[in-house]
Amino acid sequence: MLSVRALKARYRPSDPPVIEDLSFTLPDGGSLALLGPSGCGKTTLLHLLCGVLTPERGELRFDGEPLTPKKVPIGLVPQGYGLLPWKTVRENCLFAARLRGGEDAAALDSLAARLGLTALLRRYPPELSGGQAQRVALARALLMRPRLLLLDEPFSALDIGTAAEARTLCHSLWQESGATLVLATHQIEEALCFARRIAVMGPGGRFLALHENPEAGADDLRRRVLAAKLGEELRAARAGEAAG
Amino acid sequence: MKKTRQFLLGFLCCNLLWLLLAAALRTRALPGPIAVYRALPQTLCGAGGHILFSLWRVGMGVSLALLAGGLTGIAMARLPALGRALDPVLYFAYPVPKSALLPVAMLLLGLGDGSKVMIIFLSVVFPVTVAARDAAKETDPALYALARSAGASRWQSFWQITLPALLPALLTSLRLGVGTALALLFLVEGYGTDRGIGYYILDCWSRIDYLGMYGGIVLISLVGALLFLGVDLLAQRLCRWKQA
Repeated sequence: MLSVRALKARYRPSDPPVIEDLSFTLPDGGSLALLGPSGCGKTTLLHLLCGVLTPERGELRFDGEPLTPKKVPIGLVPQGYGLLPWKTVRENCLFAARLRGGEDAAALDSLAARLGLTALLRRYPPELSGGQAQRVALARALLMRPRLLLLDEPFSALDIGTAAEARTLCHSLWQESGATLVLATHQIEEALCFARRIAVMGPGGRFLALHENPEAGADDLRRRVLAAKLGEELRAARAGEAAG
Repeated sequence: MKKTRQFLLGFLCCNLLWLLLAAALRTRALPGPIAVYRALPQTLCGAGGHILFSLWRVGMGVSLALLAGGLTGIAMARLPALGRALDPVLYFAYPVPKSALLPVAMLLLGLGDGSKVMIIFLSVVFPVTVAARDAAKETDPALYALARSAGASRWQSFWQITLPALLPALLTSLRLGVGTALALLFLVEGYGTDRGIGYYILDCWSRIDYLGMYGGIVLISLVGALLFLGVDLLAQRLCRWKQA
């Protein structure tokens, strides 16, 4: 179980806090979508979860233990995908797993086949399209056999058709992995597709609203009502940001 | 093949200009290229050993500059306070003609190789520092976030991300540094030594052996061209991703 308690964080001592007194829990294998306007703290929360940022105050625990990358395998797909330009697709896929000492070439070949990357394994990132780069970043995260999977706006740079395909594939691969998922997005559709819980974030990283989405992945009237509600809350959050 | 043709064409054009200038000026002080190349085997016998001494001095000076400048540039980028402290030093010291510091170098390190290497070092270290600093600043922070999320140590982040990201800038600095260092040989090998291609050229000049003098200049030029080609080959090997 992922447990976040009384979290407070800022980037520099002179900056105002980006996250202030945030608490939530997420069961093993659960999924949480962070929905909110730019600057509300979605990426900051992901960086806190994966150990890039140290909180000023508060606790991050996973199954009762302090949440650190050394103790818990964390798969991260950053905004922009974070592919190393000087490594081939194959080396990029294995990069994170190698750092943890868990390289598995057979698993790579199998995953590459499912993601349509087999023919691209010797290429370099500048030769890839946006959709291909996104799949490489996902493969890299999954090859770590993560307990916690963090996706930071993973489909925002893709066109509508590619994004829809990528979402479906990503959703099924995530479910097979059994990882706990935290997804940062400003797309209501993505939140509804992936997450059992959807948090609308406002200034200070606060959860303005937290919704249960029991039919995640299905399309019905309740989901459309929820989508409308999320749209209103997101607009309100943006207005709150603009008002400062 | 195309690159070789272009290279030879460039070489021929330089020599054609030389031929035209020599024909126009008609002075012993500027023999034409044909006479100089005819005397080249003889020049090589006389200057071959001198070239090796010069290469040693250039190698030392440029290597130390790459190491010191590279590490300083990285530190300036990664530690903003250090960057702010050293930026004024860099901007004020960079334009200072380093050859004017020759008396200082002689006082500090004597008339031997120390002062010669020091002048070469000072001439090369500033552009290397600026190139390394700028390349380190431009490295995508998402790459470091990714490495940290996978549990990478600082050393692993440096080896896997910082160094490869800086490589193209360092290789460009190496090309510039080699050119600058070779050009400085004429000055730094004009005192306190009877070894080095700079000494050889000055010695020929003082004996009004213009064929030997220009032969020495041609040798520096050929050595420089070979070193540039060597760096190009190194770049092709180490930065394959740049050609992708």
